[in-house]
Amino acid sequence: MVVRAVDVLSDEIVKMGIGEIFGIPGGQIMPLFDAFYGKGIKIFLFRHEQGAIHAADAYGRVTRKPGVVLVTSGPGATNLATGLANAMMDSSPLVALTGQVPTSVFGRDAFQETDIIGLSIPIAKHTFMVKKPEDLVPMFKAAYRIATDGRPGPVVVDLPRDVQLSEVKEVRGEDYVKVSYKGIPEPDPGLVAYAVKLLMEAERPVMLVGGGVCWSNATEEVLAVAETLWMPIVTTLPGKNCVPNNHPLFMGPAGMHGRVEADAAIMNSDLVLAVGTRFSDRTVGDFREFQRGRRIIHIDIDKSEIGKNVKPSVGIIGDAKATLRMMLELLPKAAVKNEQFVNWLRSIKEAYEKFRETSDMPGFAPWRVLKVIREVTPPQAIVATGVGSHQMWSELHWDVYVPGTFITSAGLGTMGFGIPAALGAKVARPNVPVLDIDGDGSFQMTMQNLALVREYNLPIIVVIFDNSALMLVRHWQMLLYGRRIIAVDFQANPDFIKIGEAYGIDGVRPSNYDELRSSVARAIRNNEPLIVDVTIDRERDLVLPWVQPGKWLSEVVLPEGFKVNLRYGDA
Amino acid sequence: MMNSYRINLTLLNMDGGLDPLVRALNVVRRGKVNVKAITVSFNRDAVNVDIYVEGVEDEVNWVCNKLNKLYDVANVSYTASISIPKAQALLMGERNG
Ligand SMILES: Cc1ncc(C[n+]2csc(CCOP(=O)(O)OP(=O)(O)O)c2C)c(N)n1
Ligand SMILES: [Mg+2]
Repeated sequence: MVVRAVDVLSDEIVKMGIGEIFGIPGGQIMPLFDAFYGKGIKIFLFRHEQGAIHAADAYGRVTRKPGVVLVTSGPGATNLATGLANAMMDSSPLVALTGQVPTSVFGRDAFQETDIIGLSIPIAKHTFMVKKPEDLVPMFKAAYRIATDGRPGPVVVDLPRDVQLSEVKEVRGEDYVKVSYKGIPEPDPGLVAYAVKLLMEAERPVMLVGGGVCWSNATEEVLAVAETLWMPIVTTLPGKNCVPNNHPLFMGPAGMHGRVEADAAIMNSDLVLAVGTRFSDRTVGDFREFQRGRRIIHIDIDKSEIGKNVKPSVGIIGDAKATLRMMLELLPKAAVKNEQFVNWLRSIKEAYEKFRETSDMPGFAPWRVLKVIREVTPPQAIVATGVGSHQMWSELHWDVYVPGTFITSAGLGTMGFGIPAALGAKVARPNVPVLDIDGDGSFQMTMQNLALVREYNLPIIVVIFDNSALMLVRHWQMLLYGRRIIAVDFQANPDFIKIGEAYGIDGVRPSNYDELRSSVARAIRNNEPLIVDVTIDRERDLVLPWVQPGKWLSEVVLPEGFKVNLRYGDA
Repeated sequence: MMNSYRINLTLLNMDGGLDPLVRALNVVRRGKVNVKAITVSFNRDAVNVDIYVEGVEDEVNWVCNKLNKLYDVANVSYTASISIPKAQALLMGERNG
């Protein structure tokens, strides 16, 4: 019997302990699907390839191992484009295996021939085109390793059908494939010492935590450094996922859709210690203003991030955990603590919380919906989101207690990420409740994948912030385009409860907070799927505070009726 | 300040494929530098690329740092370049090589 390249690969995949694959078959990837027959690998058959790749992305974020997605050539492969870019922007590890037409017809516009490598080179961490059967296993193994080497990301392996079906005559080791691995750079002790000196000199240092802290598993070190110096912690959107949001030094995410206390912390700081962040324009707003009158220490594993958007006083290339550990050794245990600054920021936080507690709007208020759901959701529950105002409300008002439990499309802002991400997270952690905080627009982009809930028993809870609008765009139209509202209001949305019903999922349209609370609590308790359609008035669903793109944090637009002085020392 | 630079790039060569080169050029495409000339030669194990650019050093640095991240890039460096080779010289090089 001929041993096909795909047989060797599927055996190897089993040996590597990869137990789950997300995908959809088709002509050019049939050999590899066939090779998995009877091998005990669980294949999650999605209803759209975009769903499969977002699920693999979320699976990778939860397990810290690359998710594997398997699709056919042409449309199967092109349907991955958004998912690849999404994983790239959020540094999420995955391996995408794509079928390809036989090498003999390359370039002949064969049926379902697409140059997926050419298409994905700019949006993937790396790509492999497998041209020889012997290369298949070593290239897959290299791809799997690259996905988590240094800064994680997506890798594409394109598999022509003839290569898949050919006999492997010679077994080749992984090092047969030429790859320049990047590994983890050692932080420069001299730079670390200098950074510590600057930290000690600072009066109002602030730590800015990015998503890199999660990947480096550096939460403990972040808290230890912050506590030693009594330094307020602010985050990026992905960074919100990396520190417990109920820590006394946590001031929340800063920037466009950030918390005022976080903006105030940065505005009034004389030093920012930035860890594992690329300084997104969404966090910083105005790069020039950010660098004025304030020292910046930047720690990142990716050398190309140092100096890319912000020129730091010290740039340290290294793993966050290792670098912060070095800092901790140099920091005096009894460093001077500026308690006053933290107390002032906390007073802003408390004032804002109080304002939200006492303000209301007819129907459901987004911040209160999140609060009520949080109350009945265990700390280790995982929350995925769609993209839009509901996501920004979650950035502002969803408290992450356990790092790694908040999964959102931050860098690419991909509507439709929520449902498949929740499914991928549920595959990774079947015993943990998984929720998707979604928008009615985002929901409709990938809702066909709800079929997997019953197909594979993946009971996720989807809470739709149903404002019958593409609210975040509407918000911009109101504030930046003189209320010229165009192409954002849905006049004929489907009935989401009926959609749920069609997929065998219970639905509820609560009429008050108690009903919301009890229905979510029951679904969690019984590990049952649920669709919660929360009606929100689009005329009032304005997610604030908000900083206009390109503007400095001091120009934050506050919710009506909330006043606060953001200049430290003025009070 | 705008200056001329030569970026020297060594790519890993597997079977003479063009993907490593395309990947590298895709990075250069996104850099804020003006490309004046590119020379490429394929050897058994490596592809040697010289990219002559005009731009500010910061941007050249950006390009080099991004190139350095690629998994088929073995080496990247840049130097201030005094002169950009003329098309004719490049052609000669091709003939001789
Ligand atoms: C795939 C995609 N298309 C378009 C956008 C632009 N966009 C950003 S937010 C948004 C509105 C999202 O609507 P919905 O999911 O209902 O959330 P809401 O803002 O109403 O809470 C749009 C269209 C996007 N981010 N992603
Ligand atoms: Mg909406």
